[in-house]
Amino acid sequence: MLEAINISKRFGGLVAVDRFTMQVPDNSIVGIIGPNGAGKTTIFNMLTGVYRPSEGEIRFNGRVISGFPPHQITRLGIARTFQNIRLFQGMNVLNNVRVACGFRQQYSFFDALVHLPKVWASERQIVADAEKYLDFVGLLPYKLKNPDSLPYGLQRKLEIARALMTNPSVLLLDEPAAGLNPSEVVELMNLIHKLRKMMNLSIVLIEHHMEMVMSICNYVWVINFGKTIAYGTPSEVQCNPEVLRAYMGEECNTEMEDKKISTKSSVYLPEKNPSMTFLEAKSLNVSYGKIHVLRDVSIHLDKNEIVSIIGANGAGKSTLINTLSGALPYRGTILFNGKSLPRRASKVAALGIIQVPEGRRVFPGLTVEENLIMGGFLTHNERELKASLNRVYGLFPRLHERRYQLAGTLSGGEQQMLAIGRALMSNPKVLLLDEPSLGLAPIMINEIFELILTVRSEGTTILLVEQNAHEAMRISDRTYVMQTGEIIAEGRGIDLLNDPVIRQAYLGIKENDFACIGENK
Amino acid sequence: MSVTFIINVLVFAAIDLISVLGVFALIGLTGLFSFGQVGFMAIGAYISALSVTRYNLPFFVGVLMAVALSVLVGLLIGFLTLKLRTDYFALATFGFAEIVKAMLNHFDSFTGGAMGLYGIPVLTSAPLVFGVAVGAVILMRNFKNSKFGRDCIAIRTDELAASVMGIDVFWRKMTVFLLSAVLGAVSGALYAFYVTYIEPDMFNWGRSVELIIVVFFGGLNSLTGCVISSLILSILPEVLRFASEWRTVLYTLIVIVTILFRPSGLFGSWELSLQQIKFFRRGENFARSDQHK
Repeated sequence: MLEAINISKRFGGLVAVDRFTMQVPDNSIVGIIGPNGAGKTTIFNMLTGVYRPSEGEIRFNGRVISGFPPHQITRLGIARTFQNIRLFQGMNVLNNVRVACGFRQQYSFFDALVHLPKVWASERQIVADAEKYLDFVGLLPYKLKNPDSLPYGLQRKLEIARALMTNPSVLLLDEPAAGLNPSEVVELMNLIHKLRKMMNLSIVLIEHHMEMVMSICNYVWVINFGKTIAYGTPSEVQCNPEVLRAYMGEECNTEMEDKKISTKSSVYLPEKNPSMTFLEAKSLNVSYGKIHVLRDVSIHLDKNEIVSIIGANGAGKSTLINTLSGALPYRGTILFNGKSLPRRASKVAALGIIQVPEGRRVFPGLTVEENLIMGGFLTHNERELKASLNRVYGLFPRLHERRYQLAGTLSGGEQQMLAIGRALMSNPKVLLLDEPSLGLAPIMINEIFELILTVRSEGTTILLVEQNAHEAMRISDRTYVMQTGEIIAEGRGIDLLNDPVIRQAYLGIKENDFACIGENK
Repeated sequence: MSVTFIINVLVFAAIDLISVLGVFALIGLTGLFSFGQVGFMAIGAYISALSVTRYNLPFFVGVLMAVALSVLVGLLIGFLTLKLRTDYFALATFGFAEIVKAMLNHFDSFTGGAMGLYGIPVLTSAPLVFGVAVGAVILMRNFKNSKFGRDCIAIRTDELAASVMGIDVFWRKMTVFLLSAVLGAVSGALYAFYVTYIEPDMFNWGRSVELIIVVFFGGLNSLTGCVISSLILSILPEVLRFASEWRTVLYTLIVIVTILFRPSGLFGSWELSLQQIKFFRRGENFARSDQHK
């Protein structure tokens, strides 16, 4: 059993975690939820020895482990994955997993140098083990690939396989569902269930995906500003008024979802499209080496439209966005305002086509305000810059509070806000958003989507790539569905949402799959 | 070109290669940017040479003394510097190599100082050097393919993730640091007993830089690349001798062009293996075997 007793973590004056207490019984699944910046990942960092708690004690099977270095804690049987995927890029998938059990391999440095038979035997054993775990998460066919060539969802699975290889009795998962589409989330939930049963594990997970937390966790801890505001079984926590206010930002209402789709989406559709094509891509083809990633993709954006692209991980959505922003070489034509688009990323940006890349990419060594100023490269003078800054601060009061803080010290969700804010600094004509809701708390997701509507109402055209297919389709005028590098459907979000084939294949929704909790997707 | 000249060139190339292998483990695999390799070469050369010339110890014992001392010094330097950030580590190891050189100059009654140490008997032969070099390559291959090699690459790409995978990062770095120190010392000792005369200026920091260039030129992840580039870059200056004063310019130009057009080095992470030799025989293409790595 893993126990945290009154652990706190202070960074200078900031109390990131305040007297957090938690018990993880054997063979249970425990969830930690809370708004962005609440201190969830800091708790993981303390549990795994990356940070030493400022106060309090962590016990594992009765033994005090706070203050141990990370490798010792791992060897005792606590493994983890990372929110911002940290795979070893210099090695193939198989070796990534093999690394994680080096400490269990019983041969010495000198045995290795002269390559004794026992080295060989041990390596063979380890390869078999590694392949078993890769097979378990479905990555065996990719074992000789480089991890960065895998789509996001598979990289997450590789992190899980790697953590399992340390032979843990407690597994800590930091936002395992981030960046997964709904059907992949269902798969992940099955995987977690299977893990617990087959390997007799306890699992602690940080997650924003409410259906998942509520349906698989035995206990849930809710934290906000480093303090525990509630804990208990999912059903106890779910309708706790304080949790709703701090985290969900919504009422506990099961019929919420359907209402939203039917009413709001029609409201946001513009009455009449001037049918003026603003940005148009015709038969784009992009290859990475020998792999053909985009095949004859044609899309168009009308002025002041919100267009979303949905599809499974690895369908080519991010590639499409990167191509439009000029970051990748391509065959085909892209027209912007009737003129062909320059093939250099800097020139594309100068035209006002600004990308918010997947995974934030803020400058960690600069302050929030400096990051924003970096984004204002299209503004002409001090005054314009000030105005842009104020506009962004108006949209994100949180960034204003933290404007002198280094961007690297922001929480994941705050960095996402900063990345969007930075893109807005130059009043883009076209905003390319790559998974803006990734890693955000439900309350923030709503805000981000409302924000996208606000930005549009100020005259910006928006292309949105999202795993959060429901929300994306709700706010967009049109949606493209991608599969293995091709556009396979196009239409109004609401029509696609009601198309049973699309629902089943790309949203992973079978009717009554979840007893839906009053929560958006 | 006479045969002795060619053998001479090859012997120096092999001696360099032994030292380069240490740098490969340290910088290539582990990402520890060290300018200190030449310091260990100096320790190896001087300690073995002094053991033999001043104390009449056998050659083999002299080399052992050199290796033992380099391990001790390596431990001391490692304890002081391995917890530093990589850029500070580079500076600290640079300082270490300079200190070694300064001490050799300072204790001139013992080491011969700037005048150098001469009269070292010729105890290194070409077959011995080639044998040690081949042995070192095999050891390094075994090292790279073991859990130790994987640990190193993991540490290079993400130290935090490596420690969370149960790797004791500090001690693993220490292992590699000592391994490279020993290879440096052996290479220095072989050198001293081949040229019969050594002076502190032979162990300039520029030498360390040359070793580093070799590793980058060949490909950080590729032992094969490291061996081949070491041979090319040791032999090239000799081949370019006809161009006399333009030699250095040509040499550096070749290095710069390679690094510009093949940033991951000549061989990237490609390794020669028995499987791939079979591939060549069947005439299949290069790129596919590349992907297997």
